[in-house]
Amino acid sequence: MANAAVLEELNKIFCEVFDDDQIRIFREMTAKDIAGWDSLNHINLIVAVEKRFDIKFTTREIMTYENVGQFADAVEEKLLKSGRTPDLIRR
Amino acid sequence: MEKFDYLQLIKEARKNTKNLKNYCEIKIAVLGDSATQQFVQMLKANLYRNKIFAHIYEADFDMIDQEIYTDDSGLYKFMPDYVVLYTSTQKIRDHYYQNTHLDADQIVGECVARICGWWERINSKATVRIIQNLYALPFERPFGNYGGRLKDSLVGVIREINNCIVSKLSDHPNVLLNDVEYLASFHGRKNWYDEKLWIYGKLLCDPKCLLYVVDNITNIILAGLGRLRKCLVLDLDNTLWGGIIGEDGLEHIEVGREGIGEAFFLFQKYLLELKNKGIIVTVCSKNNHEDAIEPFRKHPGMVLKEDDITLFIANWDNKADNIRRIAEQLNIGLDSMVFIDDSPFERNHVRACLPEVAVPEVPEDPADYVSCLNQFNFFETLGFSQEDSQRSGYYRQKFQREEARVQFSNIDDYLQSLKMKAVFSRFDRLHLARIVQLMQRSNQFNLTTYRYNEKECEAFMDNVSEYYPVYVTLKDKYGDSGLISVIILRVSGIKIVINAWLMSCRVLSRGVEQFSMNKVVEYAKSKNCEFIEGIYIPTAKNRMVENFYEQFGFRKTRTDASGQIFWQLAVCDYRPQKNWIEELKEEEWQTQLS
Repeated sequence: MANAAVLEELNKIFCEVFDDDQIRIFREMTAKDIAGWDSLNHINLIVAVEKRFDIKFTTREIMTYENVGQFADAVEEKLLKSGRTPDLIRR
Repeated sequence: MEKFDYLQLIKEARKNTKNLKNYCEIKIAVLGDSATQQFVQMLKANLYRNKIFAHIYEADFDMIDQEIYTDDSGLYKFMPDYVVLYTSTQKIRDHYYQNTHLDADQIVGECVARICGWWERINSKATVRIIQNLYALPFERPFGNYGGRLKDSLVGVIREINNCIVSKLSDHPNVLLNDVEYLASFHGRKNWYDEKLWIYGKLLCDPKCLLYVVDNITNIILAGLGRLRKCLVLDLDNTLWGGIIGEDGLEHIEVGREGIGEAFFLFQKYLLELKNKGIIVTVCSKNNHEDAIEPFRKHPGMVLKEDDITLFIANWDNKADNIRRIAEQLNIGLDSMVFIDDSPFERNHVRACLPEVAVPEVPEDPADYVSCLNQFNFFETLGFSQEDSQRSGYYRQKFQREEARVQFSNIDDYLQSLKMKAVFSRFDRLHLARIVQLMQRSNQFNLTTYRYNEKECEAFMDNVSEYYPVYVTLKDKYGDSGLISVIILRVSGIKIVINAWLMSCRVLSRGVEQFSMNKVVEYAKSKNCEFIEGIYIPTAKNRMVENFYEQFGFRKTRTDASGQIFWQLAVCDYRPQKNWIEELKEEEWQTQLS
């Protein structure tokens, strides 16, 4: 399960990409829950998250995430794999 | 957030939805065989940063043929100024892998014929400029170095397609190249392609690299709008050579083939290339004049010679004042100048006093000067004519004339002494490229600032019953000034309407306007017209000609809602204007030397 710090950072990115400060992400959230989550914004989301956390998603990953929870877990896993501590990612 | 950031641009695109008053509006259609959403958003934002509000028609994904070959498609209904043919290497790759039974020539032939077919079809339907992507070479090379010599390898095929596209451009002056291959090789193909985002979203390249494509097209569009840089202002010490001429002396400055001198030598080679392509090169240095000029005359390692420098200013005044003087003497806007100086103090001073002048940060290492100046692509242009290569010569003649001017007590004696000769003639194919170029470049002496393109000018030329589009060329005893004025007249019943009147500021105050107006009135009489109507459309730059028509006896009749001002003259009231220009026929121009 993704760490609170990771979720918090992800939330900031969602607000930024969808240009909406009111967005509060949750694990079960999908594209249907956010207006404007189209393929253009999905790519923008990927680009923003990869940049923020300095990680790379695989093609399979970006094509198969079912909800925000899976997405967040993958971010955390990649951070751990690269020897970083999710708690310290907050800024 | 850094200035040039993918997400930043996307965000700006969302915000900048309103057209601002002093922004120029253009219409662009984007037809792609890869995804265009990201590109379109970023292009819109980047143009907006340059005070251009773009209306963009974005065709559906991979519908280039349908848009171009359907008569009433969205493309043609939209009536764009530009069509961007946003084609991708990956689509050629698909085509290549699906047609392994064909030989390379067939694949290349098909691809090139398809592209030329698009251009011709668009040209038959509309008057637009087409921006054609060149193909980035692929990153993959299954046969290693050996594949590079095979015509039928993917890289061989794409290289040949690019060559064919480039060779076809000479027959299609309205097709402009978006050299994606240069961008990809410059930034590195390894980083250029993003296979993940191609597979997922059919992106042409990595989003970071997309910025370069967007900026490239922005530069083309700016050039098309006449927003060009025309003049370089150069410092000397530690900019054109190493060391300080006033202290180190001629023997000790560094420039030439040896040692660090080669960095300055190569920089000067690049500058000379710009000069030969029509960029005006000037010097502005804090030095004694005789010290500053000495290397240009005597140093064997110098590439630039005295003759290459259109204006040479070496004094102890502040540089902002000197640059302002250069702009005045050349009659060009500050926003068409680029200032290069190794001193951060001078750069900041000029930036603060003259924000319109482009002042790039100059790197510490002179070996990086070329790449620094090169990266800004300041001198993008849509074309090149003989006029360009001779530009600095024209200015030299102009200054000789001004020196001579002092010897005469009155202007008429002086003008008479010049023995000026001019041709006033209907547009012809030979002069078309220069005509279009002058329309792009003239900002100050330009009554309506219409930027007609090649096809539109050709249409005027061929429409003999309605239009009389003319160019004026001028020469005198100091030399040939070339094609310096364009006037487009439309016959409308008993009235002649002056649709466009523009002139190069190089030939101000020589009587060309008076000579031309006499010819316009003569033409009006020959057509039995009773009135001549002049139009003035104010812009930020053409105040100079605000009252142009008044001096010829025109009267202001009305101002319409968009701010256009109409002037009218009764032909019978016209008093022929005095001038000292002898008219030549076009065929006499070459033979009769001044």
